[in-house]
Amino acid sequence: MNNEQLKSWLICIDDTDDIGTKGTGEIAQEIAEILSDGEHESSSFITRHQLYVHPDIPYTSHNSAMCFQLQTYKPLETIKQLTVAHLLEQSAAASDPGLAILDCDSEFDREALIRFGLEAKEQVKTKQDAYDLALRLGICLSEHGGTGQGVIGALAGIGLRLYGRDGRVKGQVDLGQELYEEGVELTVKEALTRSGLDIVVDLSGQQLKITEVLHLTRKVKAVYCQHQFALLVYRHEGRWCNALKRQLKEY
Amino acid sequence: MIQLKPWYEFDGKVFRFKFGVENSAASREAAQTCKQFSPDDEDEQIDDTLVSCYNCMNRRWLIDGVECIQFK
Repeated sequence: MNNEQLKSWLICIDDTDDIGTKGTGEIAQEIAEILSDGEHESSSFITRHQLYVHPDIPYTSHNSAMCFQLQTYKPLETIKQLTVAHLLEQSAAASDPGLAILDCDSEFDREALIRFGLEAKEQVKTKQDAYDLALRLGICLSEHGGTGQGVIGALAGIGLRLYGRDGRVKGQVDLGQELYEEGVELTVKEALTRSGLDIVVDLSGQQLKITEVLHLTRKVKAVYCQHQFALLVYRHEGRWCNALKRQLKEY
Repeated sequence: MIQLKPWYEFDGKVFRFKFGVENSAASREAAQTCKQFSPDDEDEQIDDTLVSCYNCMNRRWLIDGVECIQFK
């Protein structure tokens, strides 16, 4: 395996769940673990990208796609084979799963892909739109059950990840804040070191200095902005506090 | 589902939350009354208070609102 070159990929899935079944985020997490099982192989945080909700789009309840970056020695054929096997095993019976895989080192029209992602947040896109663009850009796009409508969100999710200013990070950031009713105080440097996140930003996108002190309580979530994984904070009663869910909703 | 009548109305197509997408107080009141409330995945929750229709597995986001699919 290690005779192969370590390469970077973006992988996105959409429309794998139904009410009461395993969520798309959880399935994406499992796929990331399956694909990054080798020495020196790794996967990034997973980002959740909100897409358009419209009567003409057959989403279940929220229409979001899940995307992650993978560093692996595995070739595309193996990545796809392992991913599809897990999708077929774990997707809900009534779902319409789609899968998009981008070779980050390939030459492709980045702006076209980002544009597709942004448009999919505001317009109804068709499967044909997605397949046409994927073919033109050399992106591996495939459907795995039902109507296959998930290919639209899967391709859009990759575009939005490349956009660099969209999406919440799947899961919560555990910095010990839930062990104490009053939360914990950490410097930015400590929070970044312990969480693996890249930056701490306020609601206007301004980066905090590493010496600033954060007051973290209850659920802490991260977002993707400035092409980095960011802890979002806001100023409250003279302290930097982790963002509320309604503030995170913008992502 | 009669207990949710104060918060939802049929708009001809769906049972729509009367208070839009930004009224957490009303969303929490409705969910506290509802016997069918079930939280969606944490990644899909948008209200800091768990028991809220905005966080429920049975809500469905619309262009300009939210519907409860339990009424179906």
